[in-house]
Amino acid sequence: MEPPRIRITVTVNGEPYQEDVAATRSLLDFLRNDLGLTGTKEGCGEGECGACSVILDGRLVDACLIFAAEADGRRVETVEGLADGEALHPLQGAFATAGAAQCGYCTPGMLMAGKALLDRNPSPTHEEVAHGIAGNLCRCTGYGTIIQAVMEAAKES
Amino acid sequence: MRVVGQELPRVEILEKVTGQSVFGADVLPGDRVLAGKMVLSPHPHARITAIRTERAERLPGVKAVVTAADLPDVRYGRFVRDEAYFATTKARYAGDRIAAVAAVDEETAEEAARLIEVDYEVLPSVTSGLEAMAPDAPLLHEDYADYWSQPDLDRRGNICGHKQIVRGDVARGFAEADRIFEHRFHVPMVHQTYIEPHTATARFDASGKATVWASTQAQFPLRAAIAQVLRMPMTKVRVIPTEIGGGFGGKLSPTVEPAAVALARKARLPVRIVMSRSEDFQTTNPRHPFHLRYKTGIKHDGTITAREIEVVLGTGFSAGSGVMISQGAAVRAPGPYRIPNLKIDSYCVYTNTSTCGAYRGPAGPQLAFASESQMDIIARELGIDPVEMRLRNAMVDGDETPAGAPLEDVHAKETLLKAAEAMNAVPKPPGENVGRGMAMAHWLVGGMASSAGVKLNEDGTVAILTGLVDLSGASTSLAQIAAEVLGVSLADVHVRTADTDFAPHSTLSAGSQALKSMGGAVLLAAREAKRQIQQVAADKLEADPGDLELDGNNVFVKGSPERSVTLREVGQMALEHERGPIVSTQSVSRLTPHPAMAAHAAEVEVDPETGHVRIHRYVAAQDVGTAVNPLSVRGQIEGGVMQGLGQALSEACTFTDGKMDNPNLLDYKIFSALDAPPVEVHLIQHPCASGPLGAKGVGEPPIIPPPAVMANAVFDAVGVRIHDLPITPEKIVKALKAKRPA
Amino acid sequence: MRPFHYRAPRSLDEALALLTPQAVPLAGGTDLFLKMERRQTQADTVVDLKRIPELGRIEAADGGVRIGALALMDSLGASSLIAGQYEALTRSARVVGSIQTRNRATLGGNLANASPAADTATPLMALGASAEAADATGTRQVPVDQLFLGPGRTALRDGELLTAVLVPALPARAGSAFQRCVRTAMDIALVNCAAFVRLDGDDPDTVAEARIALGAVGPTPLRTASAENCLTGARLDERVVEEAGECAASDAQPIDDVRAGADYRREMVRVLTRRAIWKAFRRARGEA
Repeated sequence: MEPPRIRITVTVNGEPYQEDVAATRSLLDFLRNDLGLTGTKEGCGEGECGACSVILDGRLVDACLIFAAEADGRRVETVEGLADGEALHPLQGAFATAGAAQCGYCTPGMLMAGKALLDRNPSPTHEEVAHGIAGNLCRCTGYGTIIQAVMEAAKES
Repeated sequence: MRVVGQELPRVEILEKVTGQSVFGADVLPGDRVLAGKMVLSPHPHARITAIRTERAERLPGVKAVVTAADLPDVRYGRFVRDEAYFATTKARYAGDRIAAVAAVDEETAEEAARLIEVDYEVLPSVTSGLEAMAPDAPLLHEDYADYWSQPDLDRRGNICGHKQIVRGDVARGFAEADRIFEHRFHVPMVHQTYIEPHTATARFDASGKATVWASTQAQFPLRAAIAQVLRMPMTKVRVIPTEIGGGFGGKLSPTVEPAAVALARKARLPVRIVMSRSEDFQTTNPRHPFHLRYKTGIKHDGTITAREIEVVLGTGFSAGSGVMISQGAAVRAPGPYRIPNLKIDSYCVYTNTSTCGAYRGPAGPQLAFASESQMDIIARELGIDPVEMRLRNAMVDGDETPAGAPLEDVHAKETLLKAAEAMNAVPKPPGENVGRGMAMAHWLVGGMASSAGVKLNEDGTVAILTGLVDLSGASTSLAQIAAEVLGVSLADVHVRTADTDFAPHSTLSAGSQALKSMGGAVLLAAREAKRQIQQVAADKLEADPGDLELDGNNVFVKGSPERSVTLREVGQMALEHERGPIVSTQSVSRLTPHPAMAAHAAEVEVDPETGHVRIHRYVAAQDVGTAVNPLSVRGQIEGGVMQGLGQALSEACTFTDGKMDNPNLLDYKIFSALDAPPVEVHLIQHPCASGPLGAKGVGEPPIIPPPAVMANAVFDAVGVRIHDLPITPEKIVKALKAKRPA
Repeated sequence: MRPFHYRAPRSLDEALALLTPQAVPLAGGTDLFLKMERRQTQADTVVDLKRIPELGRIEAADGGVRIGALALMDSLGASSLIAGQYEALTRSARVVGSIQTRNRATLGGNLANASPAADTATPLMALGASAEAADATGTRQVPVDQLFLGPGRTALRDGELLTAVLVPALPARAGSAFQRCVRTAMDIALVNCAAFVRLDGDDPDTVAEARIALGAVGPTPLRTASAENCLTGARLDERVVEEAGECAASDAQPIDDVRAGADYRREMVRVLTRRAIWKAFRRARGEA
């Protein structure tokens, strides 16, 4: 069987894209390979590590477990859309100063988890932040500085 | 100091928080990149009687298939030449490389991999080092005696290395002891579990040159390995290290890189191989599983008279770095204590698993778990405070390692007391099943050959050129060192990791020695650049070069700051000056090792019904010398503690019939933010004589004590002693049931 | 992944027409995606149900609640229609996976996937819920405790779609609780347990009705009749609850696997059953 393709229209970081994709294409591969948005990472491909976290219609999701076709007509936010031109999002600034990014591989997903949390809950407690990033694994920091950074960003925004 | 000692954000942080950093799988070497896929043995031990690739080669979209037949017949290994890149006649672990394919897309490559037919005759296998030592164990390398090896390895059957250290007379030491304790411990294999899996992208150009983009901690050794495996001169191999998504010692040895090059050469197109998480768990270089036996003689007052130690590490299907790690294990096995009589035997043994590697603090957590659990057992038996007993035996300046190397800048007692004081600052809450435990450990930080270049630009800014992969903030610390010497701010220093074609030789980023080695080279190069700057400025200022100081982007006469010239002017003047542009490249090697001490303490609460351990508090004191960047130092310590706690409580690679049971993040349990306790970090800062500007190595020590700390705290809480990591709820419940009267 | 046709019907009728034996329904996809990646399904058509609005609703019905099969775990955990009334269900929906998973995974998917460890299955069994199944010919109801036939196997017929779950009204003087045991915070349950307790109208210490369901200790989530019998009609005290825990442990059929040993699982059934009963009891008395 020839791999069936589907035409989809997706708004990514405010930009509309219309693309033909294979039905089997994951949203993650669509972002990284078709749109060249490689800020979103793959760490496990099984929905366990959160490195591929993006925000889909306002909800934090693992892009590795979603077909690109499912995003047809929907809005996707990725790390590339966080900063407003030169101006960093408060989360990005807070991650930088708190030392919340070490190797930086989990960072794009962590930032999106932080954003999804703050969009819903602008002044979370330490425990709420820990819950908010529990689906994002980090092997470098031990999480303390990440939680601190999200709380700092909450104060600023 | 102005810049060294400041908590400064990393120099590359903006790329990281905006998603612009280029990691291994983000590289685009051209419009078209083929997808590569490895074909791996499903059997832990099997004779290979045939490999048929025709069906895969005929599949539309397949551009190359490579097997051992496509590579020169090369056996490699630093200690024992026991490894071939592709298996030929025998597969020695479930994951051994058989072939690799490249195709137009991943689906096709996967299909092609499935179409490669291999005939196996399955053989009995062994994954435990202890069992592999038995005379009737399956032999992994029948021809081991014919392999080249470094001398004095004492190889026999599956034993590929045996190190014995004897100091004093253990028999006399045990005779002098009032009590003798003997315990056995087991530590399973654990995996680094960096979040970025191994990946390599290779391009082969018309001149026969291979360019390899890799997520590696060791670009120069990787170049050497590719050149060796493919029998190419080093000038024909260029390794470009990408940003690295975590390594922890798991990205030191070649994995998919030679295959990517061989495929790119055959396909005449760039090829990328990205390991799946499952492949990464099963075919990379995790921490060695250890079996340990500790026998300790002790006086009633807590003075240790003798220790006899036997450690067996399962190295996997090839010796790899296991020989070196087993030798290092012998040196560190007694712990940070002065013990007059020692007998240590450390065995490195082949097993049917992937080759274990140098996971952060190699051998450290295993040894400390055994040694520090036993210290706790002994202190309780003797009724001595565990801190007091450790203080009584702790090593001090002037003591020697078991191998006879003198130790300076030790600070063991101060570090231990700091951890104890910090824990005791808050009283233990009342209630049952709450307990506290502590442990102390050391790491020996060596130094490796490194070169660095420092130059002054015409606008007065400074550039540093090295080949050091920035694993944990090293670039920022290097920039801080140069900024300190040259009197500029961090913003005026550009630091760059160049690839193997352009960078001078660099140490690998491992063993807590990256900053010691490369920082040493940068310090020398910056000082030489400073001397050149003084020379050029001296002519202009009509002063003696030795009277000139550098600060605030200016060069001025000591005591007369109005007689000054800017660095920008010096940078421009140098171009017209007889000595020419200001640039210096300096090298270091064979640096004196220094000890780095860590003492940790924790308070836990154990649910005696479910066995669940909740960590209330965790204190980590560490002797770091000068903290060049305390933000990085604290970050390293917090992260190291968390990995150590994972190894203590939840992580283990387990095997059934030679195959890994849990090669995925669902069943290999690393800590999430909800499992992570807050970590209180206390830095002990005394400048170290053998580190650049006094800095000590930082990365390894924090991962070493946590398993012992947890074992001791759990015992204090509920009175059961777990000798086998990880300390799971299941083991605690089982031990509690066994203890309860029927 | 094997190639397939992707269809996103806008109505239930359209979806049912597409659900031929070669088609597989796609809800949140958190399980299905990986099954397809590992080639564990043979489907040539994927029918995405997320564009059918009525399937996602959570609404009051007959005093109880009707939960559309496509309701997200996150919505379930946050629903005020469910919280306060069906504590066991709220609790279970809040601990399924990560936020990322709860933002995709659906109640219908969790049930239809038929994992023995499905966290929402045991609360629904304890609460006496039924699944609504529809095909081109009509709808029928299947009690959730009769839905599961084995790992990955349900009583749904070919062409039948799980469309909703109906949870009956919580009777007076009743309460429920959910307990689970995991290795680290983000984990699949090693054991889970849901308890429902209704107290006697005359004696608030006596149990009139009890349902206890266990997860991850058998080929399907299962009810423990002996523990329920032990509670029914009994005045609750430490001894009775201990005995119910023992009964549940003996009804469990756990296995050894990479996650836990059978002995530990059985022991945890005892512990979690006891804890769940006490919690449900206190809720039934309005104490928690």
